[in-house]
Amino acid sequence: MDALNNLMMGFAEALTFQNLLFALIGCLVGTMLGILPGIGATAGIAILIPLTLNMEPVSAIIMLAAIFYGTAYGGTITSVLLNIPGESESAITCIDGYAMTKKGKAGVALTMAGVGSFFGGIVATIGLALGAQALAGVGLLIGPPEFFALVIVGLSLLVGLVGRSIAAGLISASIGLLIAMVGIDPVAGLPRFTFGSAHLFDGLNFVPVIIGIFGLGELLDNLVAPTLRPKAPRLRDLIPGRTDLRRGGVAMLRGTALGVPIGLVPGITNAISSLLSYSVEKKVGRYRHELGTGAIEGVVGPETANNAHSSASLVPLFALGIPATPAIAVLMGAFLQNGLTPGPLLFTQEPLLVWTIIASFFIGNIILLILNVPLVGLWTRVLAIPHEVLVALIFAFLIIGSYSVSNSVIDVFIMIVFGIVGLIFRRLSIPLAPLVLAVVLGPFLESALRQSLQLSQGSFDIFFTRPITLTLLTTAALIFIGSIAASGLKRKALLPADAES
Amino acid sequence: MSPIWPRAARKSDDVVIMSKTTTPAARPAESMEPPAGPPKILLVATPLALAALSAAVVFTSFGLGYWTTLGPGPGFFPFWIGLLMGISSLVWLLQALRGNPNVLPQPEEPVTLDTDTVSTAPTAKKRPIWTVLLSLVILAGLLELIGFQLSMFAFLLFQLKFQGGRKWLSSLIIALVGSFGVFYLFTEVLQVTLPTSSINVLEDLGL
Repeated sequence: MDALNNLMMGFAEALTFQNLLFALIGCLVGTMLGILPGIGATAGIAILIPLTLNMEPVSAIIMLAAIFYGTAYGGTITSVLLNIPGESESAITCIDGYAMTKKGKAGVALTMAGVGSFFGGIVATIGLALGAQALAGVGLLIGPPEFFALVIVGLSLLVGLVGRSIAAGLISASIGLLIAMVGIDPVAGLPRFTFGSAHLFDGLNFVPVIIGIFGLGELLDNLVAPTLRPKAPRLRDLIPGRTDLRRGGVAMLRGTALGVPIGLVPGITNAISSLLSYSVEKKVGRYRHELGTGAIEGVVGPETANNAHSSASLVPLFALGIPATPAIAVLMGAFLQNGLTPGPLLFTQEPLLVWTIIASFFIGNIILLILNVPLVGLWTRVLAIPHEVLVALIFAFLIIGSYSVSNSVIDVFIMIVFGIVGLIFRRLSIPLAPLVLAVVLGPFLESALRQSLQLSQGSFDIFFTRPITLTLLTTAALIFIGSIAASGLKRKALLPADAES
Repeated sequence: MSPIWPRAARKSDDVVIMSKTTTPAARPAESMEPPAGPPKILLVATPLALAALSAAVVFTSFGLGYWTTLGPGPGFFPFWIGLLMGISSLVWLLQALRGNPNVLPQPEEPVTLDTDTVSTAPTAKKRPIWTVLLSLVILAGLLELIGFQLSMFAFLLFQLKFQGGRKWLSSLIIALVGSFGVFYLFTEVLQVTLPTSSINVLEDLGL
């Protein structure tokens, strides 16, 4: 089988000492970012991008991708032990996870969540290995109008689903597109919004922008926070009983069945999968009456769905070149900074690289399972670092990351400015996800639009005469109208505005 | 302080995922203050500023060329994005003025945590945002003048000792590691360039 051969080839490359080391570093950093409240995968990947510019692209992507899926593991630990979600997608896990901790079953909750995450991640990665190349074949048939329409669908899902105000979501997306427009215009070569500054001719680099909005903005919003000192469960308590395994196993299957398909849709974030999984457990679970009082299903279901979603959401990136969530958008930025354009062409141009990265996902999930279950005591000690020390050191990394992307202090100032923007966004509950996607995809969106209109010699009919484009644009319109109607009917407070960080 | 918009006051029944429910068993020992709602001025000034920005973008786009013989020109995309942003900002402003609950940020419920699992440094309670921002701007301004190591050392010392309320010794050690140690790690091990001083005397010292 072709995919299997390619995957074996990828494994041979991913198992070299260097690539294993970078996968391990990525998993460590990812788990840590998942555990520490205040800084998530999006800012973390952005900070580390400059450091990878001297590395081989494949190692760089292996490490940064491991950070991405690693955070989905780490967020569980604080949810279960402390009732504090490290990441918003683990928020729902708090309910039953913390209840289990109070019953003295923290160890079982963590083990089963880890195993569930592993299962979901591996199944989704198998799906990626089998499906991505086939989908990439379809991706090659996609022209500029279809690409444009797909991005619009993704953006309208983000605008419609995250946050409560459609207007705020549109503001966020349009600011992102504006940021993307700074610099030399891609078609005619005219400088736009550069204010005569040569530094801005290449555009506003997205790295300081993202570090500012997601890193500094979040820190400024929560300058004072307590230091957390959870008690790590003993190793013996980590071993689940027979009932836990049986009940958790069922929830695992349901979580995977939910997370994988939802993850494939661009624009839907992990938090939605874990929320849906919880409500499914509440409706169909055999022990649904126990949910809320420390039922294993309430931990395993959402955590499995979350990780299945994370890994599955890489499929649109590899197959179509469209990032599904903000963290993946930053990951796509990492590809671009390393001179690679993710998308269907990458499978034919750089097969070894793609398959090595996919193989590394399997390895990374194994590393994460070991890091998060038997070694959980290590992470509770990381949490004990006093908050003020942590904040001071994160400041240092924010400065280093934004400076070193192009060795310029201007980028440090840009980072600070966008930190203030991020703070204001948070205080006003403006969602950040549309902005990030728009910043990274903006240039592609504009090129696709302008290429489409050049193809049709200026006629907008091209968006209505091609069936796929028309279907996608209609979908986007329906999502948009639907969410406006929904926000009028009920107060949508289902998701916090920062559900994307 | 009375609520600015009466409707915002009874929002606590909404499902706010980030907030926690406190079961009676948990010892309600340490309550974190909920973040104060945004000042009214921010809610009105932000959409106004954005509307002004979008007007500027739309006007700039005229100068860039909306349409060329080949199709849309460099000003085409900015024009429509500027328009979209302008309209959204005005809608948002209108909703905010009318007290639409979807626009007004919801106060998060205070989070209650067990005292034996958390601790807050007593002196770390007050950290005004403006001092943090100012120190960051000064740091950025000094980076290329006195170099990464000295400016970061001073910044970290300020953050840890004077803002974080840590003891002198631990502040000094962490600041040294975070500035000189990090500089060594990044430049020697990771091959990342960090700014050095532009003053000759300092540069000769390797700063």
